Amino acid sequence: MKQNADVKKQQTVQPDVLLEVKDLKTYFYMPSGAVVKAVDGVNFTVKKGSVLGIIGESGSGKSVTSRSIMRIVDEPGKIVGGEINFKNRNLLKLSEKEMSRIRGSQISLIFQDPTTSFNPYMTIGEQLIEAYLVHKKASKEEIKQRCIEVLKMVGISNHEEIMKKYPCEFSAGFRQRIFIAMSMIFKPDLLIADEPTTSLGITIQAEIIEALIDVKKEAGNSVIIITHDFGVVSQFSDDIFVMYAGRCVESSPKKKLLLYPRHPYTVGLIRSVPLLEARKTKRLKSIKGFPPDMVNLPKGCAFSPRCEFVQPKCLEEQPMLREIEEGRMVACHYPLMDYRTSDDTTLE
Amino acid sequence: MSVPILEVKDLKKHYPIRRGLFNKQVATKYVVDGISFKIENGQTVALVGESGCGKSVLLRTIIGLEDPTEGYIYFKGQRYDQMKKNDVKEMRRKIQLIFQDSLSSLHPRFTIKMSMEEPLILYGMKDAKKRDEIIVNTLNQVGLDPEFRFRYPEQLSGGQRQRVIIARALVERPELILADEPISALDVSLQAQVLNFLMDLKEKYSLSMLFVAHDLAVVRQIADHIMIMYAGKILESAPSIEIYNNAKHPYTKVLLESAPSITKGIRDEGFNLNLKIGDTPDPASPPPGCLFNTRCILADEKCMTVIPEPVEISPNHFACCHKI
Repeated sequence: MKQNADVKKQQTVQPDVLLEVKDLKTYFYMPSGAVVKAVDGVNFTVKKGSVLGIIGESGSGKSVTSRSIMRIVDEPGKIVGGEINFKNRNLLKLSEKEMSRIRGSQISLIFQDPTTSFNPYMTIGEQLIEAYLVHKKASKEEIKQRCIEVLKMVGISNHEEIMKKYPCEFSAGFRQRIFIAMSMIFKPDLLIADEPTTSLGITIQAEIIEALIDVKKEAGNSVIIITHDFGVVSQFSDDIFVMYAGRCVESSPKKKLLLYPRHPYTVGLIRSVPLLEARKTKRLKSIKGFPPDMVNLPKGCAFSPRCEFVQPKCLEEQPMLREIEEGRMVACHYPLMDYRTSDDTTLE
Repeated sequence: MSVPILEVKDLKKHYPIRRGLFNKQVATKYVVDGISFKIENGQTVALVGESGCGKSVLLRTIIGLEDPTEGYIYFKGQRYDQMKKNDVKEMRRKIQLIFQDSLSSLHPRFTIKMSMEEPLILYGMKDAKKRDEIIVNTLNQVGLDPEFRFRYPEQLSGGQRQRVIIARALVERPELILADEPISALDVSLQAQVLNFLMDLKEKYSLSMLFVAHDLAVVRQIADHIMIMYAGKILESAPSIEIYNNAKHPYTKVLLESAPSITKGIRDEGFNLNLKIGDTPDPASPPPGCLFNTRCILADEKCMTVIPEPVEISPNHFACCHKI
């Protein structure tokens, strides 16, 4: 029996896995006594050099997941269970000192709002140098070389000029690009981008994603991109992970998920995206109802009040995440096995 | 043809930049710079542009929160600055604005009922019972439980608040609705809900609408006519079918192509951004020639010096570009 377990363990630790999140639980203990289960048993893995897209609506726990990986969950939030294995070390077992050595050097986080991520009183150059010196002592020449390299990665060529300026002298899109450069300064193995394009216009958004793709191509790092925009994840990621009410409802390789979504929530999300290519139809198909109240989650499946395929079992029993095909996990009692999003057969 | 409900002629809104001890004007911001368009009765016109292109200022000018620097606005054929005081009041009733940020546009210490009641009181409805009746009806119309009128804004979710904003715009039975990015702050699943709902309203009450968005995909379902705005000017204006099938201006094409899409994702297509990296021009110092020349990949010498005039491509389809 024990031998069996050992064999199983060896199988789960694959050599090409960079990050493995196991049964992560982050709860918020409100002063009122209520417990908000913002992340409630989430499992996923990120392979080396791949891009994972986490998609969900506001309040679904996607940002808390990323903050849990960095261990920067704010009070009254607490990581109450699970494992976060990064390069075969459990980040939750590390001391704060060890963790701060990993932050920024091996795992970097890009925030949604590029305005508040910079110190307004320091020049871009000073902040880039500071980001470097936190982790390593180096000569001026060496640091400057690295700064120029990372700025080039994101398509900024006039670095001399940029380094002397203050954050407020740039537009939001430009600042976000500089921030991506800054987060790459220590060649992290994992870059977490938390809604990196949400507040930006279409063309600027495309520029930022292009910058992320370029950076990834050059540095070969893994990326977790967190967003509520299906368009962004579908063009950038290899695997997609859909979250609803603190849990994973579906995870799958990108193409399969987009063409054959299995969970009713995924189907609803994809259908409610306004498509440029679509014929001018009269109505979009929306998901009825509202995202759930995280304090009083419904019994059974959290999506059941909004689900159009709801059955009696869904109201009673919470569905567990299970594998329905190779590499595809769904948390639904009655996954939609023969649904497809497009009639276009050339998409296969 | 009947008189259009709203007509804007060569509208300009410039802001002075003042510096120094004597507040001397050192420069001018050309935020809205020569815009003309019409909205016919029952028509929905979409104004699409990225942040900073001046679309919100244009809306504020239309509703009368700002005075235009130059140019005229006509509501049902009447010029704003020639209206009598009573007509102005009436016009403000008939034009309603839906704001983008639902939290900051509702008074945090007013209940929903108090917020919705205000315009009614302002226009002299003294009967409290009747006011309540109207509010209950309107909330029902937007699909909200009438009990919500006793709640405070922070007790509602984003989508519910956005409906309250729409409901508040509707209590006065407007004829023209100006919607300033009404859905961009909402979650994807709610965006579709609100968009569908606006379309229902439009049909039911034959409302005219000016719908502002930063994304062409969003307005696909709702717009009859689309205008593309960039740095204070309209670069292309056409019936919506023309924009999607026969876009002429390079900027419109970029907007259509660079939007991330699910279909492209399935096909594993990468991004092909036909755009020079850069920012939208500073409204205080617009580039000479075509405004888009700093980012356009087709730009040549002529574009750098000569301002392109609108060219008519087909009826009602105009584009400002030398390269068509």
